[in-house]
Amino acid sequence: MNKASTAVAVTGVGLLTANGLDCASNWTRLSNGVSGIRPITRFETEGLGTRFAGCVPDICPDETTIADRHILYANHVAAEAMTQSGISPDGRFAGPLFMAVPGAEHGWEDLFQLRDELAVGAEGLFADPARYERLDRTRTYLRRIDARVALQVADDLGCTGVPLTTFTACASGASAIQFAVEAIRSGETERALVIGTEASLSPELITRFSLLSALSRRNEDPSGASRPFSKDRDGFVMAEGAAALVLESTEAARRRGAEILAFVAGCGEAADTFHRTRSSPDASSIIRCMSQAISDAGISVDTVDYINAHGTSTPENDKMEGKGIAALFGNRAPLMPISSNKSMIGHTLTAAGAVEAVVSILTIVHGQLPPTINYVTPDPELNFDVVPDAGRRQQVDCVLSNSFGFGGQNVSLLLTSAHGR
Amino acid sequence: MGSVWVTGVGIVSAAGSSAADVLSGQASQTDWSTFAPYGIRPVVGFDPERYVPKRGDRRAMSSMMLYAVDAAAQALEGAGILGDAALLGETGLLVAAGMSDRDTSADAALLEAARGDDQWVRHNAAMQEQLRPTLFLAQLPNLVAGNISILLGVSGMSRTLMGEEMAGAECIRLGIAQIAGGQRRIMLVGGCFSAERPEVLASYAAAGLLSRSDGATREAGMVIGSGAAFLVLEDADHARRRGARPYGQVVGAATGRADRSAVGPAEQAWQQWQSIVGEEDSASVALVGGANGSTLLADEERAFADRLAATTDRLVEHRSATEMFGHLIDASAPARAVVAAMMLGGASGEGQADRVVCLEWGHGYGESQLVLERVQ
Repeated sequence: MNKASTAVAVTGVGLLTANGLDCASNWTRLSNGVSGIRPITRFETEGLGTRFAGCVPDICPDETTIADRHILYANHVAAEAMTQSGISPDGRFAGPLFMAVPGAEHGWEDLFQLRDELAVGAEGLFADPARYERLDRTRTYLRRIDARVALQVADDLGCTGVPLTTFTACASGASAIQFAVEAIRSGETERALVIGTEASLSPELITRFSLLSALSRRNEDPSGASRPFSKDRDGFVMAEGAAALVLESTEAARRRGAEILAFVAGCGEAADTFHRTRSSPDASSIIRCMSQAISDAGISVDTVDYINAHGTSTPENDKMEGKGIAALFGNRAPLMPISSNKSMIGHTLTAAGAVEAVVSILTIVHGQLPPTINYVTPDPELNFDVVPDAGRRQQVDCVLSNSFGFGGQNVSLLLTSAHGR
Repeated sequence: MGSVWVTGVGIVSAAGSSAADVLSGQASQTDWSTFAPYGIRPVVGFDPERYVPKRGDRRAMSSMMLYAVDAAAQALEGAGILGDAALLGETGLLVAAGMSDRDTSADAALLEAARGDDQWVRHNAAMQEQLRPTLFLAQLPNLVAGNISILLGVSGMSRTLMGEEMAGAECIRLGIAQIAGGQRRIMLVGGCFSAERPEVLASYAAAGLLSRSDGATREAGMVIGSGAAFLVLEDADHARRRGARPYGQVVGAATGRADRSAVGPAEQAWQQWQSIVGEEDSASVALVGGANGSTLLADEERAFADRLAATTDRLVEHRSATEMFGHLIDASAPARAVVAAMMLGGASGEGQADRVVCLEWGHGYGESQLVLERVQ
């Protein structure tokens, strides 16, 4: 039904995950099947059901607050992407900013501090908001403002206009890319900076996901805990991370002689109407989402070479994603290489869509598929080539990257090689 | 670019919980006692069971999610597509929302339990007892949209924007762009906010932004309000074909972030106005604004209104949405758009302006504008 939409060029990428501080170190480990999952040391984990995660290497002091980490991680990956693109020799980005950021809340370290400063008792910290007028105004106010992270990053980088903050849970990073692609396609801008950032790893978030039975509890074997598509998968592994992409119209990139790494050729989305935490049993919204990305790119299902799966390692996600892929790709499904980066770096939640788009681009650029590690006990219901254990040399020109949000927001991106067009 | 119509509106607010109630201008009350010395505007006339009959569904949602689903359902009903599975399946959804209410009594218990040298160990242990699994889902910003999709069937797209006033303004602007660019034929756009949250009031109080009252005198500042507002935006040809009635037609929308120390919001608004309507404009204009309790922004808004009046000579009305609703934060721009649409296409209509310009200026950043006009 749709005619092909214009492809948008990617001219720079930046990556920060448990596997490294930049694209190069990440790629070495991801393409060789190395896990970055480890016990959490940044905060006290005693008493938590899960005590490991995809923690990023130290780039800031342990006591840095979550909100400040979102900003530090974002600026870190933006610098790498902008340097690679050569679009901003002065470190300033003259274009709009599209971010994926978790919702703003006071962290408990703030709350403990406030409790002690205000000397409040059991009646509760917030029982009398007027007490807050005595406090450090900026700190207390800003931590609760949703726009804060994007405003700070936009100011640090010199971005233009109103910075956009999108939140579609685990699809947020992909949604931010989608907004940027639309802005370039419509001619509103020639260039856009996209950043997904995720630093909300904390005792509270672990507890909340644990209460929903969503997390792996393999505390004795952190690096073996994330096992997408395995029969014995028991939940996802929380992770921190960030990724950035410099997107440009193809004309603008060529005009300034930039090297094009890959294209975002298509975006698809579909909201689930079934349940707050579960997909439709027939996987219809997942199928609709993937096929819209493919038709938006103006290609056929047969052209897809490889799928960078959402692959969270929860019993529910992998089952439904597998069902959707099997239905859409039919006879080709068992032969299609499908792998999950989350097996090695965990689930970077809000940033995941951007992180995995960047890994998909590295996959295209390097001509090598990153594996799904910990694939010891295949799930017989998921009959796929998951690129088990070790990376595989294979040139791919067309990658489908899936992101499915907790709460029913599904997004798929179709990424293609620079020489394909 | 195709024309974009507003074909449905819905609102839950301190000034009533239907568009008709709001336009009839019933005075909204400020509650100065619950969170004294600060005021809030609670919603009035809201029936949570109107569109969400199942108790289990209501229990799975925060108060602002309930407001949002109700306002969204009103807008879809007004547009004549509530329950139309085929159309809703292609309808796009853009929602402005932040995190919903925390369980502050649980938080208080956690703070009390976690004292002493090993406070983090105690904190971890206490959380396992205090936190409830369902609360998380009733808090996440994207679950506002999630519940609209699940309960009302809107499923073509679903994206949530965060960022206070500008999130609401961008939902409108980007919703219009989706239709004008031909990606979607129908969009449901809006936002929601809950004011009855001590942790939110504490944050605004810390910044010195809130109005205070001791009963006798009132200091200038924000009075935040609870509510939600949604609009159905539709490709005009599509709406005509299915016989939908327009409230108004979009002339244009703009958002920006001025350096307020260099360029005042009034100047920015004037540039936006000119970029939307051009130099030549003979239509009569009404202005929907309200400076969200800021005296600085009130002065800027007056300066813009004066300039508009001097140029068009036909500024027939200047309405304050802040007076009507309090400050709705994420839902503020959508609520103003609902008021504008009702002024143009509501039941009365005669003798009023041909165009309505809605201003939304963030308390901290961002200036936006939406211009609607009467469909001839």
